[in-house]
Amino acid sequence: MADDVLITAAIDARQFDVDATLAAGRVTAIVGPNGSGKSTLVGLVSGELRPDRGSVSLGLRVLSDAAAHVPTHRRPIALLAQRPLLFPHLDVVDNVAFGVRSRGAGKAEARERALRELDAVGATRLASRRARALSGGEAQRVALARALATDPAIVLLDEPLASLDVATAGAMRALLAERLPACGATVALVTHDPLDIWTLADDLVCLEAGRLVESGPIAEVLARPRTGFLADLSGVNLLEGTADPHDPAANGVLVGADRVLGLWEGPEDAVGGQHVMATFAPSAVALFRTPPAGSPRNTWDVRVVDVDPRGATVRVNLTVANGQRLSADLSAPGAAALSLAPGDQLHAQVKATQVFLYPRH
Amino acid sequence: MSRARTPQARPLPGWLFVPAGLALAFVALPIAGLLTRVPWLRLPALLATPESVDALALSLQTCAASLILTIVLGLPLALAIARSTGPWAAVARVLAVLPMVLPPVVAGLALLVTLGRRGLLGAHLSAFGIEIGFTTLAVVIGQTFVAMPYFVIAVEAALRTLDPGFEQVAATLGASPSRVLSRITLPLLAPAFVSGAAMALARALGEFGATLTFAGSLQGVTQTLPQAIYLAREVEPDAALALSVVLLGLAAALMAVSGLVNRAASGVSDG
Repeated sequence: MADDVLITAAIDARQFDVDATLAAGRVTAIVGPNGSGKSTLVGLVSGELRPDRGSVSLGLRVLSDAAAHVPTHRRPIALLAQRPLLFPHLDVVDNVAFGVRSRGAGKAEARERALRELDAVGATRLASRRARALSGGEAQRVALARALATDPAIVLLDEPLASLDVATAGAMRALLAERLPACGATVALVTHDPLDIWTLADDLVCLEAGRLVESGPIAEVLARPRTGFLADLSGVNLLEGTADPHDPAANGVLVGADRVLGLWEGPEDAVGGQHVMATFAPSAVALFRTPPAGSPRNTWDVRVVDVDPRGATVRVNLTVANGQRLSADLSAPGAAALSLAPGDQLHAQVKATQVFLYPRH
Repeated sequence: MSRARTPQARPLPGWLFVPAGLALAFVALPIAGLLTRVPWLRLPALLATPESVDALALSLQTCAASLILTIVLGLPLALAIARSTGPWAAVARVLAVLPMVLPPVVAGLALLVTLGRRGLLGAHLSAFGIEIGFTTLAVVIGQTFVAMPYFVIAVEAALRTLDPGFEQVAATLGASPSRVLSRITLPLLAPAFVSGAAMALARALGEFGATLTFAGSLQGVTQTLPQAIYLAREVEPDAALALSVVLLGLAAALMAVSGLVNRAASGVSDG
């Protein structure tokens, strides 16, 4: 019953040119740095923006192209933004019934539907409250009910948890995880939070500077990140280099003058000189003041950028010789023993078995 | 979202209250002076004279008509100029509020040479037997001309500060532009609508210069309260004072309404 949303659209003024698909009935996380075009993508689907070239369609139905543009209010969509934006002059049940009424239902039917949806988000007791009398978390729950009450084919979630505090966001995340699969819609979720991606999304679309840089199922895309942004998102270090011309599987990757050894995950017949990514966890990195004794390990000269205490561990941000960034997570006592300061020159060591090497594509 | 707290009142330098008190006295004293001279006991009799009754009735009728005209024409104008961009919108914005700063006698003259018997449009209307100048209709036109900007400016300002998110989300919920306007935009504008209408009504009630120039001062036809006061001032000062009290009371009531609505509205906007 759900349909794919196909976006093949360019907007020149925003330097946006993306070809992306939101798979039918699945939740696609839209990620990317600020200004990468996430809001533009949402605007194209909601109908607020119209492409200069290309088209936006839902299954076989064209929503926007050179010839036609279905206005927002005639699209089978729902939008939940960062702010709940409940209509302050209406009570909760009328807020939720608004969309149902707008789409042609009678008063009693809309009210009945609204109460059912409020029940589904656990907000029945709020039904007769004024919208402005709700807390932030309550308001966002009601806003979700309002969005889903119209039985949308497409649900657009634009950082729906970003303005909530941690505890409220957790409850709201659990609610989304329950309601989104149940509503059967094709969902786009704009977020910066890895937790949202892991708990709510099936697929991921990553934009950078108005271009699609990566897309696919979450597990695939984040397990083998191919951009620095995605590596940050999945919490791993990413070094980019070229495969050793002689035998990449045995001899690893050259990152500037440094050599990175690891587990080769590419095809057997890897080509020397190929662009290769190396990932490893920050917790796999050990730091030393004096060069450690040899073993089949990676050892690189690194420079401390800054030191960021995070509870029981300390995140040390570093650069390797050719300027690429990596991080090391040390125990607090371990970090204290090294008495680190920005600018310090150290030796970093990572076991080859904890590094994964794969071609960029 | 956390509700905005009332900011702690910042202490002011003590000397500031001296000029502030002077300013208040500057406004309050003449009003108090007026009230001391009003022949309170003869008030009912003074207001019951045919001149007073006619003026009062005419003022209320014409102001009701001009208020309706102000809303019917001013609301679409406010919406259009608030949502338009570009040089023409800027010109329209200036034009829309120009009557507010135009001397009323100039406004009256402008209306006269346009809609009067030998005016630009009036000459053609005369050919069809339609006379506007020096009729009750002229009073209504004059009042609308000077009062509409007060309504337009209040509604337009509120529209500009209205969170566009509400209308956007209403559209995603399937509401057509007309439904968004009637169910979302206008209800959210209600406080500005009421206080703008109160300001415009107060301005129309007090309108004198444009009416006198364009409509004259004929009892029962074009002689509104301010004109009756002006004429009675020499002949029967007590009647003038009695009518003044009525205008003062109406104006104060309208400002109170406007103030109450704005106070209620500031409680709404932080929701």
